Amino acid sequence: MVDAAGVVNLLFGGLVIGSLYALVSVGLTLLYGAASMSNLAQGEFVMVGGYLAYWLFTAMKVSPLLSLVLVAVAVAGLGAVLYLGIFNRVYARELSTAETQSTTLLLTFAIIMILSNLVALIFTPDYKSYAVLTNVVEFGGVKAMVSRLASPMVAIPVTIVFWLILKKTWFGRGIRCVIEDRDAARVVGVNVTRVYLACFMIGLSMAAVTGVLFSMIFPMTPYFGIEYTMASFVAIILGTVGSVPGALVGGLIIGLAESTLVFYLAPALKIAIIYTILIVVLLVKPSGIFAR
Amino acid sequence: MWYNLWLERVNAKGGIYVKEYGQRLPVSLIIYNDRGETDTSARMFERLITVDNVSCLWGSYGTFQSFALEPIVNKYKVPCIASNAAPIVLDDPNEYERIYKEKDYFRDKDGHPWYEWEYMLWNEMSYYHQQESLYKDLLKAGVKRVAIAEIETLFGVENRREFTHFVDKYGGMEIVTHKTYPFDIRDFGPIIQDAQSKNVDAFIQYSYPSDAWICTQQMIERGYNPKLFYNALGSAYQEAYTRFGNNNEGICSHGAGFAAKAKLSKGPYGTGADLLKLYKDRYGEVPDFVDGAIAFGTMELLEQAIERAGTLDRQAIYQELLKAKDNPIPTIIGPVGWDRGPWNEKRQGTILQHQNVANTEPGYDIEIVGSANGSVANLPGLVEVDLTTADLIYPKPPWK
Amino acid sequence: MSYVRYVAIVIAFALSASASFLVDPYTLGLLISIVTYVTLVASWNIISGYVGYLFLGAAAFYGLGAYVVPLTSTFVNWYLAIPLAGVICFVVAFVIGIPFLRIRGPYFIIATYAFAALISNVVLYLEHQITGTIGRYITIQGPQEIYFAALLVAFLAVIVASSIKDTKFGLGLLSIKGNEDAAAASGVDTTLYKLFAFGVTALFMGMAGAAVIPRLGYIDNTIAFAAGISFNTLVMGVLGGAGSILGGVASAIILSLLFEIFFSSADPFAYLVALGCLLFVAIFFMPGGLGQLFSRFSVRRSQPKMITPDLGTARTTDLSRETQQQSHVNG
Repeated sequence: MVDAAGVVNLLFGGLVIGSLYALVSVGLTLLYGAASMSNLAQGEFVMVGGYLAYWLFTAMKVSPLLSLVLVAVAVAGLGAVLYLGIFNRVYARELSTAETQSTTLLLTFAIIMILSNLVALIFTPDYKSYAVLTNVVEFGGVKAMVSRLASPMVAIPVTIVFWLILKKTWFGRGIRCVIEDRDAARVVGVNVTRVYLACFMIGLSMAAVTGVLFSMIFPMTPYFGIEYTMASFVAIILGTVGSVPGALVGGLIIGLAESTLVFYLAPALKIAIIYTILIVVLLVKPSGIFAR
Repeated sequence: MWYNLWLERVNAKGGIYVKEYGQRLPVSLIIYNDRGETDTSARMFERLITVDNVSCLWGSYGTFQSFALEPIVNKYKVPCIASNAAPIVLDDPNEYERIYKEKDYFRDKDGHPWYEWEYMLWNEMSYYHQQESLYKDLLKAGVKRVAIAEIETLFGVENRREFTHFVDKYGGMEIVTHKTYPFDIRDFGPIIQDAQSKNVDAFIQYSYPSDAWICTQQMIERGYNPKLFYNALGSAYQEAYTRFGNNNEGICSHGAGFAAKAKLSKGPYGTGADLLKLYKDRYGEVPDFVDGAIAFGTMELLEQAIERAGTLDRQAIYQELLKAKDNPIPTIIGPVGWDRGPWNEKRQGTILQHQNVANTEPGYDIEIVGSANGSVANLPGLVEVDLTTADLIYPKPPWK
Repeated sequence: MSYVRYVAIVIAFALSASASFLVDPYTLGLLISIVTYVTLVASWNIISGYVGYLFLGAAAFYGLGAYVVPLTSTFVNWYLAIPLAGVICFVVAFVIGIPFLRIRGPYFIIATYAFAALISNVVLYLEHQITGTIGRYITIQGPQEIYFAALLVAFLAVIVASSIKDTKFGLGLLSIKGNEDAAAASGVDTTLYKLFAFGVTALFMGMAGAAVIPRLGYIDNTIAFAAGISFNTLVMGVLGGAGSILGGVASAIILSLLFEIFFSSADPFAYLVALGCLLFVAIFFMPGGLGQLFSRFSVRRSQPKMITPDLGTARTTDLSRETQQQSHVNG
């Protein structure tokens, strides 16, 4: 098993999955870090994004690459509705941070029930998949279908671009202020409501875009969301909540761990291993590797 | 969808003819969704039996669930056909062989033969024969080195166990590597690589559809083309055509005796070819050749059992089922009858293969390339019929 | 507990027990299911309602308890296996609680879900490696016996859970939920209290699993550790009002019946969506769940009305009164 080509392919596989995790985690770190939204349903939005792409492709012949944009916009809209219609009202109740978190957490739990069963209702619980961009390219010993290549090639630049936006723009600075200290940000004049709205829209649409990328490669069922929720929570904690580069790195680490570590240890124990990592991370380093 | 098709067909005739009533009675299916939860499944069965008063039952999807439901069915003495589950009443292939060689019966722990107490009858034959046909084909093709990838469920375990039994006991080839994987696997890289490095002739994947598709895709990606690629479930589905198109050429899979040209595939609604056409016209896609076809076959068999019994009485239906061994019930997956045990011993184990995909209409390209029912171990009492419709293409052509 | 209460409980038990002779087998099966969820929700309320740590891992202990039965069948009969399962689960919960209960907030819910999934995976792996198969056979017990066992466990769980509230232990737990650090500062041994609460929760969940599993005669990791168990318990607990035993019992009964109706159709998903929406609306508008409804009508206002952990504000007057009293007592 010390074959160079094999290792490279394994690493690439980890990169593919890791970039998916990275993207959804950046969305979550934004939601949780900036908007105090512990979104248990993050994975469900991934799933919804995936099914939207599936439907657009099979029913309307829309290319998944175009779907990336369409789904991002659609789910951003959904995020706006969710925020303005519901979560904003919860925030307006002026509860303690902990209580806000738990109320929103339970609401997202209800969202899991609604979304997964809604998709099961519309699409049936059977596996759905489609095939696109199946030509294989080769580079550096790695052979991959273009559809798999799309994951890192889309997810990573998007997160980097977003990070740059956070750092360089006035808009991004507002978000960063809120992540640091919400009340102080308000005092300094940041429109916290608008920041929250942006976080909802961006955070959820990132999850959905992850789903589109996922659907190009893997078959889906309406219940696969929970694994992405779990993975993204581990990733954001590893990378420090609120840190975008942290989420990116965290996601990549989890993806690589799943791909390499799991296979060399015991593939049948994949869930046990990943979730043990999650629990250990929660216990040992709750402030994350990028903590200040 | 297959059972909906049957429901439409049977009610189009006016229903099932029941002599006792002197007319055809329309059929309604009472379906409960157990969401895959065994506990719920058990309760629903009890409800069907005691509240809805059904005449007979069609078993839940899933091997392990059938295990849990068996006691209920036997307690109430309601004939139940476990259709989409493998008969693992016998998990020991050696014991299976012994029963036939000694002309014994499958018995419970007190020695009572199964036909006195077992009301859950399996429509599928034992996986023993399924793997026997695979083994025979591999032997004939001259395969020497085999890689096995097994999904970690009862289905995977049992199939692999039967196959390994043949290799260990009757020789002719070597299993050089054997990997198990969890059923939510995403990356087959290491497994494929392992098989590649060990230079195997045949890559056998005991799979469910989803992992079969992922594995196939990754094999194409890596350009790994073993001389024989078999995935248990997954290849004979519409999704396989959608995803892989002409790349399906040469891929083998589990069969159930149903195919366009299958010899014994004939039931009250027509032959395999008739049903294939019917299904495609109705739903616009290729049917599932295994579980779906078996489901339809189960419906046909129950329908005919009721007709033969002439009444809706549960015991009478059960007795007709027992008599089927001398007068097998024809279905699109072949004739059905039970003798030495509650498994269908008229069924041949079959292997399917996609052939000439590029020039054939989807569904019609699937041929039966292997068939077996007891010849390897020379089991008396079993009738082996050669159901093959074409020879195995070996080695498998390269990916496109 | 008062004499009247004792008598009422005995009568209630006698009535529910005798119901099993009057109903048909299918309804009996349904009753078993309902009674199991009553146990699960009542014990869930201890860790999630009183201490405020929302628990999504009921399946872990239910499954562990269930597995105790086949694993000990050669030297212990089933009737003893049930309390044994409870004890084993208590110990396991106590031990893993040491690290786990240091995790707070939303992370706890995630960690407990992960724990349940992890155990399921490990059990599958071990079974596969050690016994070479996936599941095990269990000696079947008749539905009457199962029902009595499960009913007894349910009564115990409900009695214990509601009694805790009136003890010093219970007050301690509630104070942890109100403000854990303040509670610790005022002398409550929060670690020990939490561990004990977690242990009691696990104890009853384990007993519930052990009581019910011989119904099917077969066990494997998907049956024992079904994720639905964890999710259903939490949904029922939340709708009943976390911390309200009465609300929890009512919610367990109502939702179990609803689920039965849902799944008596070929396509239950629409109902599940509706239930999700109901849950959403309930959390949004009436976070105290059914418990909140009940205490509006009840005279005794010592019922804590809360659903959200870490109750820092005076959203509900009752609790703030209690914590005020508490801090008075502790100085």
